[in-house]
Amino acid sequence: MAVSQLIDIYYPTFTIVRVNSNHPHSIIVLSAYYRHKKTRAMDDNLSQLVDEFLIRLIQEGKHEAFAEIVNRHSKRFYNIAYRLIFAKDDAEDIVQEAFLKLWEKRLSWNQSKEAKFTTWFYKVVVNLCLDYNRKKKPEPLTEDTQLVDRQQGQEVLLQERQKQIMFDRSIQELPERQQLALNLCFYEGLSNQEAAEIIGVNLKALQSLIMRAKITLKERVKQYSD
Amino acid sequence: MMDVKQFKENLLLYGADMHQWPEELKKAGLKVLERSPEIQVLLKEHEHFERLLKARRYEEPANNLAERIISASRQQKAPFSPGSFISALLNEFHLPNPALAALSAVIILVLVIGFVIGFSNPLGSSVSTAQEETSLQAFLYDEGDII
Repeated sequence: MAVSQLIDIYYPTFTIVRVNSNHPHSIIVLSAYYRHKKTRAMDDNLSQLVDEFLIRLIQEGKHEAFAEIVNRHSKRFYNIAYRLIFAKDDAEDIVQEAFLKLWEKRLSWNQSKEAKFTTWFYKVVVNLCLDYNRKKKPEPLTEDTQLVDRQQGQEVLLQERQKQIMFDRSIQELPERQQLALNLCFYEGLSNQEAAEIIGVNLKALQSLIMRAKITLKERVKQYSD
Repeated sequence: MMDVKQFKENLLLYGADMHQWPEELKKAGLKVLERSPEIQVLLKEHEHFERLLKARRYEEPANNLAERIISASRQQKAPFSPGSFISALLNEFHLPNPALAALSAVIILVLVIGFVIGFSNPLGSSVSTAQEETSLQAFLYDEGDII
């Protein structure tokens, strides 16, 4: 095996064990932090690295890698947070909290256990959102939902708005796991398998959750239309 | 042949865009769609339903969300703890696969055994200077030599 291949395997740290033959009892174990020359080129081009590699750099304390992960994924995780809690500022706070945890506890991410960074991080964000929703008191119906403004020309528009608000509320009223399945598969476009892994159910159960969620919502839509 | 019930289920599972369906289901679905007006109506209804879903209220995040997170993380200092130190140490010695990890463990074990054997003194450590000199002389000179 070529030395360069060995270096690749042992990147980012490279341990050299050297035995001094003149003095059989004196063994020098030298752990040298070895930066592969490729890495230097990669540093300038973090945007081309896969998430899992960036996480390894983050674990070494590289803040630039953390910034790259945040720039790459903050909007995506905001989307799921917003759709689960329906509050812009709180969704932003939750995403910030999740990323700060990632930086603070960067060494706790175990690549061998967690196959994909985004799958694992979805779990983190989703759990923070569920905690938030459990703590939050149910909101009373907003003014908008009961709004009946009979001004001419605005009635149709208001009816549409009212329907949309009722529909949003119907989504919020779905059981927690059905809501999650719908958000992950329909809005986030994740595969059924990945969504099942995030929610912690098997594939069949996930499919059943999606179907039940959509059937319920379809029925509600019919009710509004009637 | 896909029936109406199966088509409905697939609509719910994979959506109204039939190109997103698994290949075999897509073929069967497109076939039945061509022939059945009932299924065509179902598909239209589902497309309308998905448009409603997509029209759900959404607010864009603040433009500086990522910057805010990055700057907050700069101010954050990771607290030192023995656990994190050990994790860092283990991470430093992270090996890519179990076989290499086992190989490294064997090498370290051999080195440790080398240390133990090397520093152990089975004859005891109390060799006097006089004895040492005597044995040295015995090594250097044969019996009867004149020193």
